[in-house]
Amino acid sequence: MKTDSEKNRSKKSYRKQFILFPVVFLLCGYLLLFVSLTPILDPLLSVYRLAFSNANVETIDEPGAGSIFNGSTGLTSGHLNWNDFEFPEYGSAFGRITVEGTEIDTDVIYGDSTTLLKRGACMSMYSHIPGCGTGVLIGAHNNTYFHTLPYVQEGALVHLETTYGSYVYRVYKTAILKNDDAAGYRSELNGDKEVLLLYTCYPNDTIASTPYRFFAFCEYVSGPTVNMYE
Amino acid sequence: MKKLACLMVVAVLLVVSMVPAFAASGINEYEKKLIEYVQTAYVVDGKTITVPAEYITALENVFTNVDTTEAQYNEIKGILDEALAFVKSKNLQTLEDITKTGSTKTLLAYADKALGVVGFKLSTKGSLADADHGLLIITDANGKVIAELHPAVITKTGADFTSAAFCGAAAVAVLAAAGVAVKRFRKESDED
Repeated sequence: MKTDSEKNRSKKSYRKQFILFPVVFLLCGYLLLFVSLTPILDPLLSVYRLAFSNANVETIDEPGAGSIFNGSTGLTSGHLNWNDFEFPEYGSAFGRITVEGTEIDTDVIYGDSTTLLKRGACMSMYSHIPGCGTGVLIGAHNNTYFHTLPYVQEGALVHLETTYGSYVYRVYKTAILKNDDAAGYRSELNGDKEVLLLYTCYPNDTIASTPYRFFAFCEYVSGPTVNMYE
Repeated sequence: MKKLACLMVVAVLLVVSMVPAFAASGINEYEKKLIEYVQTAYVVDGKTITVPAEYITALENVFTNVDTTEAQYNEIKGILDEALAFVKSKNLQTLEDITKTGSTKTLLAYADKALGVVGFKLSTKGSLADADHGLLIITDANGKVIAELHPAVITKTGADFTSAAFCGAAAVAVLAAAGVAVKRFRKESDED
């Protein structure tokens, strides 16, 4: 014959074994499924949004969305005045970048907010567009678009096609700098020589936040020059 | 900290001068004058604060999408003068001074006032003291984003580890729960 306290214990144990633990495991299971299936579901949701909502290819937040780049212009030299070309709009994909010796081949977006960085390589509004004869700063995520940037070798050519011209740069040095080490890049960014600065978080395989950035400094080889002043 | 506070104020002043228009253009003489104003007018304790070249570049980039007229220039300059007078009257020296006195809001209000004249709006996302995530956002009357600026020139380009962190946390939770459950079951079966 079971006493009252034994009955209570048995009741509590029953609750734990048949109610609490299954619920906890179920919730954890759903969480795991959600996280692991998100990469598969996201593209399907994008298709759904495209088909059944007011969104269109210009507004779906996927790589290539908002692109005004339609392939190479073939313009590799000459001079462009401010009224000879269309200045890129914020958030538009106005070009494409490829880097020799790496797998980098991605859109170049004008602006570099957290949202835009999900779409491709992003040009900072703190730098000028290619052709202005000063620094061009482009960054991208280390786990996607610029994952292979640290493997670039000095001398490698960088091809940057834009809506108004085709640019070629050559990597002349690489460096690992802290994100607040402005002295490491400021002279190139604001100098009177055209330099393309490509950067990504370093190390490239880390999933944690890192203060280090891998920089590839590239000298101008060819492409039309641009005048922004009237 | 003083430098950071000054940069922040300068950034706000820059945004004030980003008055949009509806025709794209190069940088005209009035815009050049505004750039010069921003470079030279901000003085703290008798010392001119040198505006970092990156901020001027951002301003130039915005000016390529606008065509500021003489009347607009005068209006903007008036607002810049007011903003500068406010900064001086508050003697803002540190980042704490700006937040303590609620000056950030006031300075952003100057910017919003200027932009509102032509139907544009200024907003912020997150704290501007957070260089990586804080954002100054300018939108047009239709809500289209004209520009977004993080205070940090070099942005955060690390892997987005949110999913991985969730996955890890869930896995740890499942393992911990399983461990506790097994221990309890074993104890109870031993007792029986």
